[in-house]
Amino acid sequence: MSILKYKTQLRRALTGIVTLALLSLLSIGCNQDGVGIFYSISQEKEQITSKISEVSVYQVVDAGSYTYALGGRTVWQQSGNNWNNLGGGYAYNIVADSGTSTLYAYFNNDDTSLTDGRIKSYTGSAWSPADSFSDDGKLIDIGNDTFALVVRGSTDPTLYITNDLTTPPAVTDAGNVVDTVSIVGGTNLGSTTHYLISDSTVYSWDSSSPNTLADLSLSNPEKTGNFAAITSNGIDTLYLVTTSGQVFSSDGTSLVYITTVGGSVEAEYGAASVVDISGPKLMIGTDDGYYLMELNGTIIESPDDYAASYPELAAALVHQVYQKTATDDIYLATENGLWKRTATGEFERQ
Amino acid sequence: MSRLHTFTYLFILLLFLGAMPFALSAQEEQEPDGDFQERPEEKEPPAEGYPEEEQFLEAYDLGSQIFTIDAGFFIPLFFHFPAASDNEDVSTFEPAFGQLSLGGSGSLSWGSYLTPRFAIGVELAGSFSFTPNGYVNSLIPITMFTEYLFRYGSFEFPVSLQGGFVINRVQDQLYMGPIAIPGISGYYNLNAEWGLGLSLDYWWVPEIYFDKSENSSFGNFLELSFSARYHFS
Repeated sequence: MSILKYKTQLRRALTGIVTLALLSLLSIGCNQDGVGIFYSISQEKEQITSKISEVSVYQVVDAGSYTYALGGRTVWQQSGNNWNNLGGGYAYNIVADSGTSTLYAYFNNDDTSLTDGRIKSYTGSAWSPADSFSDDGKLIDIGNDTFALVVRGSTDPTLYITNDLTTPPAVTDAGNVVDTVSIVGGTNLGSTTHYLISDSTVYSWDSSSPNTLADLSLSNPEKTGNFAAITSNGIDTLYLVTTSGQVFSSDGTSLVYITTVGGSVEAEYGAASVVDISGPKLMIGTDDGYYLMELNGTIIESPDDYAASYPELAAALVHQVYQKTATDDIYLATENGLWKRTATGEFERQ
Repeated sequence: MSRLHTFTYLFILLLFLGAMPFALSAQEEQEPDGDFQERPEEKEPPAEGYPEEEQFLEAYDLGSQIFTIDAGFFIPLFFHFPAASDNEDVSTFEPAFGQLSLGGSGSLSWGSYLTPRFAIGVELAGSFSFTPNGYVNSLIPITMFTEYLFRYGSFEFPVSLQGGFVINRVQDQLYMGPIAIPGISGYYNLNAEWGLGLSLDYWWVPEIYFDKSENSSFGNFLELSFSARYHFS
């Protein structure tokens, strides 16, 4: 090869190296959406896997000494590190009566048109029928062992409120019908006063008909979206969250805007709860993980804080936030399985 | 005595017959068919005597080319976070081996010698390893390399430096950035074309973020692979 060809080949090679180096420099930072690949890997925590780790989990409740979860239209009972399928049909809601240590579930064996609704109870051995309906229904725990049942059919939704689901057919008794509104959530302040929310209205209920809190004035900014969740500190303050992520507090007479969380909030299972983490905190589940804040709205944890360690939690739609009775354990029922937050702030996927 | 003579003749005959095939074979290689070649004249030794060190021709030169294929193990070492003081979640050096499994790697490369000892080329490689929850972290470097060759008999020891960019991926995160890979290999040349050996490469993978510099990091990995190298012109 002549010296001329040699020089030409060398020049091409050097040009290639310089071009590749420039491409490398230009490509720096082409990961604007993530938090850092090596950072994510260094923070990733190994999660245990159980039978419910791969299903969408909607609710968690305690009844007696057992913890139950509703996941994948099935009711599961915790047993050590695993969960056992309790069967019973297609389940849509679960609630627990702490007074009788009984689990109640709303089933609908017609999973397509939802015309075969049943309430069944479970005390640790087998399901027992409590009542039946020919409609779509929803059981809601509104606090202090009081339950709302909304039966939604082809007609107007019917609201039953009872503190005794054990004696069928109590909830089908016409005398138990309290209104024809569609309630999406409820809570209590004290032992007798309950508050309920529909998409757009806040009601109070004290054993008669629900009263619309018509004088709840909305301060600036205006409320956006529908009411999605209501919870309370159990004493004197309500916390309401809208589907758009707005958070309000209320003493039952007016709404006070607190903050807005990122993402949207689901209305179906109670995605907001006042939890005890070294004092009362407000935890709100969204379609992108959860937010933890002081009761005045100061954000303590947001999805960016734990996305590296728990990317599937940070990206999950959180259906429900639930603190296990008298413990530090907080359960997050999500579309990416069930997650338990321990006292140290670590998460264990169930 | 006659018996001794007989044994002597037989021994010489056997030696002759045994040497015949080699002699014929040598003739076939050295002589044209049917021609008789005169014995070359013996040259007189040079007046200054023979040189003490013999001069050998180099095996490669400008235009010699190499094609290499590697396959082996990918060993995560550690992650370096230079701005760890701004990020309470990490230390300056975080172990990678506990967070990534022992993985696999492979590569294909082509190179050409510019001098008998210096070559340049391009390489396409790939590696994979698994995070604690089973997600795949893949690195696909596309690099150019320079290589200097040390030789010792039938053994070759190329020392190389690769530079280029890498496609780094885990779950839904994708990062394209630079990469540098210094390495050393050892080959035993089976013949003029094929060499087999081992390669040891150190992967240095910067992951730089300007908007969240506290998460910028440098991945450090080791690749130990079996290597086959083909020489051609």
